[in-house]
Amino acid sequence: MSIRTFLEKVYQGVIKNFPDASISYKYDECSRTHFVKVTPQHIYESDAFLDFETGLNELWLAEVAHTTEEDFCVVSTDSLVQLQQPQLVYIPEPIQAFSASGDELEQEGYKISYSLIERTPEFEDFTSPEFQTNTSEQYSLAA
Amino acid sequence: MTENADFHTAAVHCAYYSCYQKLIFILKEHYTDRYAALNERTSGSHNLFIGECVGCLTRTFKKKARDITKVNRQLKQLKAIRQMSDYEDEKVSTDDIEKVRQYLEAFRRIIKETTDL
Repeated sequence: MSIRTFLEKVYQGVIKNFPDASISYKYDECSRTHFVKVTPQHIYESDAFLDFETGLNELWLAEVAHTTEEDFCVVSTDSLVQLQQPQLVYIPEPIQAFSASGDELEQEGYKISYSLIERTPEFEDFTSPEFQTNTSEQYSLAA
Repeated sequence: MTENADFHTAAVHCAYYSCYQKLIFILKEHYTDRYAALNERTSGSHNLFIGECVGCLTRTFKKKARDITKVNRQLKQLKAIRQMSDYEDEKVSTDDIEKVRQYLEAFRRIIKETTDL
């Protein structure tokens, strides 16, 4: 499996399983590490995310690690490594999903929750030439 | 070393290698076949040795898999910071060094709780 395919799986997996999470990505040349930052911190520290990341590590070891000297690491807000000028940023866009009757429900004491638009960005965005070469700007996949 | 900024880079270097060598010890002593197989295939890739050891520990101690994943993500950060500070002269701040200290303590605790080593 190529690193790009692996990263796409990471990206898809986070969006599908943790729809409230934001994702940033940066490749660090010095340490040859693909850093994926997942926020907020409480998602990163959750049991569900740790289980998800354990699966990613197994996949990386089985399918990618033996083919490259590069590495892969997931970080968050409170981590030692912070991503300066990430090459990719995905921020979920909340919308008010309730119907016209939502206000009435809210008045009756029901809690109205926001849901997220299900929008999986095309991976052409993720693998675009700009993504690879321009490190001075942020690219929002949600745009 | 952690209290004097002049030694922060060296402290990060030692912190990373102390963790790395502990994992190599575990792999060599307790997963001998995997260690031997890796030695034949690689000239000493830290990524592979760390990944293999983490994989072995995760499979052996399934109930500790989450803690082992924490060790893995923290050790990879230590490795990256070590390389940045050793090779690119990146400054290691006081806040960074405190985080390094926390990672070291977590590594020691989790490995001890998991393997009793």
